[in-house]
Parts: sequence; structure tokens; C-alpha cells
Amino acid sequence: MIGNDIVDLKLAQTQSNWRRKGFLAKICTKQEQDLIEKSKNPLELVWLLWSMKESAYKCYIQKNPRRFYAPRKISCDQISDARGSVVINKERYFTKSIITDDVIVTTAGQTPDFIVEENHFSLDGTISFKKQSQVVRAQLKNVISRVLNIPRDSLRIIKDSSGVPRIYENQNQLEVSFSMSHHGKYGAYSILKPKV
Amino acid sequence: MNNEQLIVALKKIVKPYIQDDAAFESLSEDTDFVNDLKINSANLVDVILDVEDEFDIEIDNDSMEQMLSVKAAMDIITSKLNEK
Repeated sequence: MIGNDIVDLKLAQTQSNWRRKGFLAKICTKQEQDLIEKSKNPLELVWLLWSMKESAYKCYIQKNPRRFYAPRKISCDQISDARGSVVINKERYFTKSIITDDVIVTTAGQTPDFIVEENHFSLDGTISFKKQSQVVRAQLKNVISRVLNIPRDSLRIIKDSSGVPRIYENQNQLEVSFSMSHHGKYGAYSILKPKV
Repeated sequence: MNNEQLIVALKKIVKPYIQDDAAFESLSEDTDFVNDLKINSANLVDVILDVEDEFDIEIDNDSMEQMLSVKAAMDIITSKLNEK
């Protein structure tokens, strides 16, 4: 299983004030807070850590289907720009991140060597949140339709009771591990590639 | 503070962060912050900090873990206010 998360860095700057009193203490471990304090680019590090936590949580919730909100209990270690690892309740996840001037995109998986088909793209920032979700879903369906050679119209994405999206061909759930995310003017999907 | 007043206060707090107007208009105890109001998960921290400021309470990590819905927030605020 995999989980992904995208952060629109420009929007993040206006949407969240990470310097707000109490903010970091609620989302970061002491070790993470120290790293941010020493960092030359604290803004980027805050959102890298956030996307690592979010993507790992999206993995964890698939195995442990009970939602919770405890970003501080999700601990990032081995943090580098491109790769990291994250621990949630003693379960370890591995993350890969792409950082550009505009976005941070992270995908988390269960092994250090997972391979994904990842794509991130611009979205119309003026359409509603729901419409943006639909655009990301449409993109994902296009890819799955092409790769698995399934007619696009027979694909449905439905969220289960924990909010985890699953994909169906008509009534049959497909064994495809994927994750979707959107934020501000950007969207992303990740699809786990089977090991050869 | 009764439940109605609590909902009014919470509605005011979450307003800047919501991304679904229809769900916000019909906000009730059953409303989920993320699934219904589409509050960005990073902004959920702001909701929690705003609740702390507004009610002059401290929301510990265990309480924060449950703060995903209006109902959960109301229970936590009520119990913290009773502790005072």
C-alpha cells in the first residue's frame, strides 16, 4: 500500500502560519522542531515533514482503519530532501519526496525500495475543492484504464468508511494500490508498481 | 455554555478554514471537519489553537487525537471547561 501528499508551497505560506505560537509544538516532535530551528530553509522543511507525516498516515490508516489526528505522534527520522522514514505507533514507512520551487510531493510505502508511477500536475485554482478532487480522480482513472486495459467508464473510485479511496471495475474492487492528493493549484496521484 | 451556543462558537472558529460552503451552512454535531468541511489537515491545528484561545483551555495530545468532528470538539471543550 502507498499514501501520497502534495503541498502547494505558495498556498501553504498564506494558508498556514507555521510560526504561530503553539503550531509546531502540536505537529512536530522535539527532534523535528530542533531541525526546523536550525534549518536554512525552515519553510521547506516544515512542509516536507508535513507531507511525510500525511503520506505515511495515509498508508497506516489502510492497515489500521480508525482515523485519528496526531501529527506529533507521527515521527519523521532519516530526513533528507529525497528520502526519509516515518514511524507511526512502531510501524515504519519509507518516503520519497520531490521538491520544486512550487510543490512538495511525497509518497510513502512499506518498503525502502517501492516503485511508483507518480504524476503531479497543475489544477485550476479557481474551481471548488470538490471539482479539483474530481479532476485528480479523472486523471488517475485515465492511467489505470490505459495500464490495465479497462474501459474508463467502467471504473469507479469510492472511499471506504475510513476515507481510503478504492477503485472498482463495475462491482469488482481492483487490487491496485494508489493514492491521490490535491492542494491549491496542484494535484498528484501515485500508483504502486508490482515488484518484478 | 449550552450545546447551541457551543455550535455557534465552533462555527465561527472553523469558518476561515472550510472548503465546502454547503456543508458549512448545514453544520451540525454530526459534521466532520475533514470529510464534510474539507478543512485542510494542517489547518486543523489552527482550529485546535483557536479553540484553545477562545475557551482558554489546553487541548492535550490525547484529546487532539479525537478532534475530527464537531461532536468530538464539543465533548472535549465541555470536559475541559468542567475541569476548570
